[in-house]
Amino acid sequence: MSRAGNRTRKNRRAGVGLEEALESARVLVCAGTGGVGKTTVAAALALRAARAGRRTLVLTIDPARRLADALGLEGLGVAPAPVVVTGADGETESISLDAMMLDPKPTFDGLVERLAPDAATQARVLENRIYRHLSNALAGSAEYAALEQVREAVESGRYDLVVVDTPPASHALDFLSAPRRLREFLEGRFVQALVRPAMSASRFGFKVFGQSLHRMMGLVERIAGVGFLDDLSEFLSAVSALTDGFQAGTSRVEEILVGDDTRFVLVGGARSGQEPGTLEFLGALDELGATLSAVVLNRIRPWPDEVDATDWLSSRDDEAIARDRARLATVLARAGSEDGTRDAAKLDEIVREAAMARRDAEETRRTIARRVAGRDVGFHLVAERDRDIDGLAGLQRIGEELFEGAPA
Amino acid sequence: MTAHARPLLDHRLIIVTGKGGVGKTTVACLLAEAARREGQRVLLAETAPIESAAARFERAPERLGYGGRTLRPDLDAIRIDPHEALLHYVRLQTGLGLVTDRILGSDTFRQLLEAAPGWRELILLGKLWHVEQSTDRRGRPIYDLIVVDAPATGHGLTFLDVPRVAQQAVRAGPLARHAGWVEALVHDRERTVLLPVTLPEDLPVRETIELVDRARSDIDIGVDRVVVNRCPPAPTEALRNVLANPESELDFEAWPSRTALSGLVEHAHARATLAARERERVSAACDLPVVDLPVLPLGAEAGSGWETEARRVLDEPAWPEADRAGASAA
Repeated sequence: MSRAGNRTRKNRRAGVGLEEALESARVLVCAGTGGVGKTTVAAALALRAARAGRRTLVLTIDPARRLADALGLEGLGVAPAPVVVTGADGETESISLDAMMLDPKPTFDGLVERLAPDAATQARVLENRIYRHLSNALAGSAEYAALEQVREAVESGRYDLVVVDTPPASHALDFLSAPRRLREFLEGRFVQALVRPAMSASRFGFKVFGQSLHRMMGLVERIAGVGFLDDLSEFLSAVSALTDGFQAGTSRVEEILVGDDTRFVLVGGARSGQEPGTLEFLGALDELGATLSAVVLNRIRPWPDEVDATDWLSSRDDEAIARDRARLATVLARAGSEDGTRDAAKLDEIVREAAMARRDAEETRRTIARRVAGRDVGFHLVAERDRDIDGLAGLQRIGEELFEGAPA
Repeated sequence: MTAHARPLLDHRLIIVTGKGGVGKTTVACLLAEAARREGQRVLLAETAPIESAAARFERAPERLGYGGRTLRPDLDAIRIDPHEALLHYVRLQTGLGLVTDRILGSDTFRQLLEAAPGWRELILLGKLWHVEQSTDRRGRPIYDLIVVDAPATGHGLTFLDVPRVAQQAVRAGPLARHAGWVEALVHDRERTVLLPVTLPEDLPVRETIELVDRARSDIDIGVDRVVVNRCPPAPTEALRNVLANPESELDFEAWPSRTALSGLVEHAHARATLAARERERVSAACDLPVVDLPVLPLGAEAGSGWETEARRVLDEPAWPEADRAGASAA
């Protein structure tokens, strides 16, 4: 069976999903676990869209140095900067591609400054002792602050397409569900109880909400010490002054994430152990109601297409391999190798590792293909590179590979 | 900079850390197994919501849970669930049974916990402290060594900073006192060491450099080596030349064709070159020696025989460059 042929057909049929996204989406989000090459895929897709004539912005998180160089980001712009694209003839191409770094550690301070209705509220929040120590850990706040930057770029009206690279998260939904979590928390019973102005923080106030809440406060104070609840309540009431801003902001961010003009591309690694994370993301995107255009399986290790890696590993004939090793060792010795036997053993190690990598990639490919079967979702494979991205030409090649199938 | 590293197994608590996908759980398992083989009584503590350590030891593992299980002689493992640990802690503090359970089980409390920052990390470290302190009837520690497969949070080391922050936020009461004890354990060079795991690739290396920097400046925790996991095998010049040469009379029975092998070997060479560069970079930027781990020949599942490689994690850390190695030996 020809694996290469199979793969090419698959990519072609599925390419529709990505093509449609690049042509008509306004926002394209690259999601996936960390360390799978999301940033590179996002940059390659943005370049392709810009070449097709769309005014494109790529919002990236943490590009490798070579990629940052390619995008002209070494100056670390947190404002959009144009990417200079030089064609084969050395002339600068007149395409519209901007790149911008998302602040990887957006602070809650920035958010407070943006959302506070007035200077007094802003000061009250920023000076609270609990705020000072714990605000950046408040659930979802950093992720939400990053999403606010995305919203601003989309609403600026300067771009036809904004390609977003998402930050690595320990759970699939950490980033994308941040607005919802933050809003639910602020609207929740606990916060509302603490911030009702008439009752302030006194435990008397909590009696209104029944015994269980009252007891809970007692418990919290017994462990965390007297005064903790006062600080907490002051913090929350200060934060709740921002609630209107949050509510408007979070719903606009949510609209962008699940809107009709937004598409997701899920990038997954082909290595064993990366599959569960990718599957978790698939489930999370469905839960969010996001429109998934394509899955990209990245970094497929080279392996001869005419050999089935899984079969080869399971039917490995140790005696035949020992004879192969001996044969190679003899040839190596004749060719002047210092230690032909050691070199032959090294080759065995390399072959076995490559076969295992391909077997794992195939398994991942099958599992994910089953999960997206019957849906209008593209499925793309990209080969592992053996060198860094060498400028925009490298990005261009990845873009081509995405649409035309990985070379055998 | 070349101060002699204290042997890993002389610590009481080893916190294995690194971003998701670098093989943290595998390294934690190698370490726990190696320590057990050295005659120590070991606790392997998982912190991720999905258990994965037991599957390295057993083909059809049952849950470890908060109660934990014995996986091998002298090797127990648990998964520290923050909710269960909190319940345990509050019970120890208040002595209340049913009432506490009802409060902690209420929707309101769950909502508070959902958003309250830091408590998961604090309670996790608190539990580790509690285990570290636990002794048997004769007053000996129950475990010689605790190996923690640390959470792979986007914020790297935040969880180790929480005890300090918590004391400032809480000021008084038992919680502040306990956070102080936990913080002392984190800082204690005799008892605790951080073991960062990375891959010889750009992004993991950058993250590791950042992590080690923070460990030193913000957290103040001991760190004396970096584990570089999945170092790819490097072919020699002679091997590459022979396989690339069409004149070589090589006809194999089991291996793929010479040209296919040459392609694999060239790719392996390129990967190994990149890996060597990254390995040097992480060592130089962190000013730390490294311990190399190979790609495990048959993976790290139960029955793959990975245990035979366990000892390699205890290898003396080395400086990637020859002159550095000379300097540290002097």
